[in-house]
Amino acid sequence: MDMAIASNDRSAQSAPSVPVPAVTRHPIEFSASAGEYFRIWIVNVMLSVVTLGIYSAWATVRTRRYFYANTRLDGEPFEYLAEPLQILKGRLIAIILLGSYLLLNQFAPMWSLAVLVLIALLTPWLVYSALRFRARYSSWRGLRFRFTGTLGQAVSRFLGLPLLIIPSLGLAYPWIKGLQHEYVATGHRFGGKRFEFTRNGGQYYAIYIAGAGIIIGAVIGSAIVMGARAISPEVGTIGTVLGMTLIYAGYLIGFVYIAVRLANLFWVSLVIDEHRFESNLRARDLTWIYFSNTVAIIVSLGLLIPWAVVRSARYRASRMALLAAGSLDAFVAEAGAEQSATGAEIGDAFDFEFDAGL
Amino acid sequence: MNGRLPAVWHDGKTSRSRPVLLHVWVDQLHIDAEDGECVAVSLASARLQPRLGRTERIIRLADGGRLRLADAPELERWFPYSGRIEALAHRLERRWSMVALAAVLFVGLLVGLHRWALPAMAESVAERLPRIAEQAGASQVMSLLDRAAFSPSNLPEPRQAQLRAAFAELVAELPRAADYRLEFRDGGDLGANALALPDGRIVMTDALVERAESDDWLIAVLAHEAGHHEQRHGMRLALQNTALLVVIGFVTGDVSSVASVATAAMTLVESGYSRQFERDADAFALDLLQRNGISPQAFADALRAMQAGLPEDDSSSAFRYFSTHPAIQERIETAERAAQASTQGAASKAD
Repeated sequence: MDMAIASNDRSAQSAPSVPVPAVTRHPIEFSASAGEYFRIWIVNVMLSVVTLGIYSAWATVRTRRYFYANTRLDGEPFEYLAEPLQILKGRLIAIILLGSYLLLNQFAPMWSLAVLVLIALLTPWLVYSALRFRARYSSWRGLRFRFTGTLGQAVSRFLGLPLLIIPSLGLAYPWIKGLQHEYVATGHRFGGKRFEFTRNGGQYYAIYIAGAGIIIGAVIGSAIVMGARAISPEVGTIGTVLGMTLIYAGYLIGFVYIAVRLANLFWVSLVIDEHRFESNLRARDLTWIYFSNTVAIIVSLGLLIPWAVVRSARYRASRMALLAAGSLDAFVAEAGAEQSATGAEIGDAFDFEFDAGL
Repeated sequence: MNGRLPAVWHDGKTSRSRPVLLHVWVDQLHIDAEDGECVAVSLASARLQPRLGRTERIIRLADGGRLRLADAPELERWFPYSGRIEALAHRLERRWSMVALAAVLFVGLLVGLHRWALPAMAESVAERLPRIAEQAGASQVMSLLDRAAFSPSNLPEPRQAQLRAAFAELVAELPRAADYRLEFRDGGDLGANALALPDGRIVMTDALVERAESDDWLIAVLAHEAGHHEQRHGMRLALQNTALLVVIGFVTGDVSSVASVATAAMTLVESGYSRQFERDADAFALDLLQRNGISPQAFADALRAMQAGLPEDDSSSAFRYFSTHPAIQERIETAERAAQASTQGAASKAD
């Protein structure tokens, strides 16, 4: 199926017009089912309970393997390769840190600040090692992804530059977000091929301005309703409820809007060997999905969690595609040839995923 | 030996994906590609990925290669020892009876944790915590409040001393009598309010003292706060909420797409817990008041005065109040029932 690149996506318009040969659109195929995942999930939860959490590492691996195996590109599934023990090791450390934060937060709020500072200082390393781990243990067509970004860059983009946010009154934030995206994107390799990223700083500002507009609009609307209530008492309780609903809805929609537009921008800015991506997530769809998921899960006492997870993953997959310029087989063949020349990376002592699983 | 299984072979070095046929002969896995290339590897060096739903099976080879194929009975014969832990998980997943049992246990576990296990655990831990744990947290909360919300009290010193004396008399017989300290602050936006800190400090705002029509109202409110301290509600709530966060995180774990659920569930359950503690403190207060010869009606009146003072405030604080104290009408009625019962009791005794 040939088609023009992302014809209906506004954020894709800035894509540089490279001379493209025939572009083939490969949609992401997603085949997980809520019923099947329910069985996997409930057994995971119960075995984790019975083993006092130890099994949760196996549960994580099983969940990831299931979702990877049910996500296909060009007919080939992705594969998750990590072993449970690697997950378990990182999880124990993460639980200790998180637990000490939670306890201090409740009993000695001021000391918990110290733990927060420690976590903030560790952030670059956490981001860096998580990206490396995730990439190294993900593969497609038998070729692994890799992450080759440096720790130094992570320090500057996740610790150094964010120090500018407060003195700039937040104005630096969208720019820093763009740089963080760039770090994540350009660090990745597939086989021997590197991902590139065409960062457009202006678009990050556009997203945050529009998102802030939604939230401010809701706050103003709510203020008007509350004002009317103060003037004429007959507006009463209904006015209060309406005003509060407006504020909560405004925050939810505003934050989902920002997250969705950022995700779309990230994917359409990504290039690998002239292949590009399409991402058309819509804020109104995801707002509804998040809202209805939350209600369904609470009403079902958690039993609908698997349904909710599969549902949002299916939606995300349905809105994504790879736009391949030329033959995918030839590209993958080259990626493979270049990987065997550089040699696969070897894991080190820190080869574990730092993740509390919470 | 018997069947030949069709599979897709990736050698892990190049990205070629080649259709192959697999068979086993004398502990060797033979991979025959359609293009004529034949490779044999020892079965012991290859590893079969455990079953997972209806997804395809994967055999990982020692040289980094992998074979992907549909599930087949031969595979379990070729690789009898693959992934025992996950094989158990798969057997459980496949049986509807096990899945249904797990679902029932899951809901039972959540309800049990919420209703009994977390509260019981928090109570028994709170009783064993050393005093220092209560003091450290309370001092920090107090200095945060002094900086953010409170300013020094404007009540005349004799009035403060009078209320302190009445409070000391009220709590004199209680097991934790030595802990109590009554302090006064100008609460600013907090309005008419009182709060108990985990170390036995009770803070009352000037507005509450000024609004009270009789000192019995204030004593009634103080009895309620003393109930919080005697029953260690501050510590128990902190422990319960921490444990709750872990439980909810555990259940929704690994799932960023349902992160909003954790927040919503936390809010719901936490406000349920604090409502329960309010009711417990009320019951304690009504009992303590009667033992000190004060009618529970004083508590009902104080509550009613606070309720009447509320809707005039800005509505956002009213909303917050009702989410932790939605049953204020119910609390007033409980107090009035207790008041009636005690007057009837007194009347029948007099007969």
